[in-house]
Amino acid sequence: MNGSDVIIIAPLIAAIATAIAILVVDIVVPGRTNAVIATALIGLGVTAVVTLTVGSMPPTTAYGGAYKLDALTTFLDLLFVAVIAMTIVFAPDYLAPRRLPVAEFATVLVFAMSGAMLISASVDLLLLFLGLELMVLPGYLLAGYHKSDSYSTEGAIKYFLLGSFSSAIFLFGLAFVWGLTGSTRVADVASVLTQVVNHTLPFSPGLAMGFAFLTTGVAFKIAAVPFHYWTPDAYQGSPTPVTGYLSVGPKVGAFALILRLFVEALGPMKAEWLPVVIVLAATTMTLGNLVALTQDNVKRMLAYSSIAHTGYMLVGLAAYAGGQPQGLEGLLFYGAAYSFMNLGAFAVIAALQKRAGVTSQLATFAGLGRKEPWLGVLMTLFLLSLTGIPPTAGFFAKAVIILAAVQAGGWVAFLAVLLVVNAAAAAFYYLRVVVYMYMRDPASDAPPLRHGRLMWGGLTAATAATILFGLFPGLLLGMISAAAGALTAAG
Amino acid sequence: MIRVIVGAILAPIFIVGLGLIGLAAGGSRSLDAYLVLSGILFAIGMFGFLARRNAISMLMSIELMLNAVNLAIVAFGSFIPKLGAGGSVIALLVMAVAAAEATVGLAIVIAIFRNRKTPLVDEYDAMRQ
Repeated sequence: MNGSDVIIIAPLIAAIATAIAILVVDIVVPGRTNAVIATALIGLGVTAVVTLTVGSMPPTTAYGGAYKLDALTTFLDLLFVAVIAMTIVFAPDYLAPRRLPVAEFATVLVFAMSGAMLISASVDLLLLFLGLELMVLPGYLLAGYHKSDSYSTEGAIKYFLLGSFSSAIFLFGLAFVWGLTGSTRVADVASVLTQVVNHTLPFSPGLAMGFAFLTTGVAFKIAAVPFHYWTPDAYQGSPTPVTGYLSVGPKVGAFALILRLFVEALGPMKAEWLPVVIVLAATTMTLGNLVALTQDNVKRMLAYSSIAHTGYMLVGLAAYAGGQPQGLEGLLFYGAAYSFMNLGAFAVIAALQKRAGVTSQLATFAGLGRKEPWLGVLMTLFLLSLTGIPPTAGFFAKAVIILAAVQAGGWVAFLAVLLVVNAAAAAFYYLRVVVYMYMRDPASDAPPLRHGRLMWGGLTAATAATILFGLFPGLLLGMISAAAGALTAAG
Repeated sequence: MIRVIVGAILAPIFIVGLGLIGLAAGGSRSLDAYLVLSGILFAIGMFGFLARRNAISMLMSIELMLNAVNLAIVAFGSFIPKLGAGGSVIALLVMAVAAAEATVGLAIVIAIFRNRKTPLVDEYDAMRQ
């Protein structure tokens, strides 16, 4: 370790320092929610500035080539910081009425962010695994954060059991890949695979099994069908701000892992894994949407819809493997757009649940458009964006992916058709919520709630991102094409 | 019931399959023996995870799977010279991760046991629709 290594991992250090600072503030002035949130937001701001400063340096590696700083790292780190900042801003309105502490919530969340940031920068299988664990372990804790609530703990134990089961599978694959290629470095694995493709090295069954186990482990983490069983219960049971985070943070983090694993390490064998991704993408988006149609709990519905969105993002990966590098840009843009619109939708649910005891059933939304017009309008906007209607970010994200998939041709073009059909089917269940908000009478006469300034601030940010990235996608595309370029240059 | 059947079908397939793969992989005979043992341990852990209903037993099964991974890693490390000391380092890291996971897992099991008064996962079905 030397001085320049420390500078390169500065964003990670800033993130961990933020988490520790929040804990210290809570010890010095216990129970002061505002101080905690101010510390968290200042710390995240500093992390973002550090990330940008370090990111303006030319691409480089640290720690013997295990940690890589490139445009992809910077882009994903900034996205994670934005996601965590918005989750922290949305949380107090939900946590305070239930007497849950904000400080521990924020600390655990920022530690999870440091794991996600480690994933985005790792080009070493072992480091990727450590980042993954650092990201999901806090996630298990957060899912069970309302520990006296039996739904929350039930969601947590299902999330934990299947999550650590899949981690063990991933690790078994890692052991074989490491043993048979002789290195955990992504670049070394890729060079071995290049020799395999050129028939200068034999493809041993052990190596094939290793990759199969790695793929299975990752498929669990992104909740691809048929490895999605934990998702609905974990999402429905968790406290709503946590659900928002779980549906976005670990998903984008696991996709970062997929990019490093599939594009960089397994890049030479694109043709071999393309059929696997096509099948995963097709089943994931279709089944996710079909089951979402039958749900009458909005959180559970959004859980199934998040499975469908996983499928859409996998189409971007398939388009890349089919020979269209824009597929990666589509995947990254979709990840960013999905983060903002999905967090926004969950924030509206969290705002409604400020009154303790309010469920996330569809009936809760009846008459919302008249009772709380602003929340109604924002929820409508986020749902339209999730559907993919212009001029929102969701539309542009789907457009980029579909375009890349069509240009790739073959079975990937078939995926594009399936995606369009699925998006149309998804409109039915998203718009059903809108119908409830504007065309049903309110179920109760309870007066409208007063929402905190933080909540409105966060909702404004999510709304601005959803609209701006739809109207002016160029704002994001520059960074994204640099990130995708860094990835394909290495792969 | 379904889990028992699935587990009973999966376990022999995994044991035989992993045994064969273990025999095919690697250079020396004794490394293969270790890999086969590791595969069998992993399959037993997987079977336990799928077949047991008790949350604590499932946790123990996951630990068994992680230990199987560690056995494979240490075997690779000691039989293949070019891997050097990497095997020991990875094994230590895996042990640390396993400990962290067990801590979080037991905390969650205690939390849900206080709410439900049972460790049986079949009875955690409040959200099933």
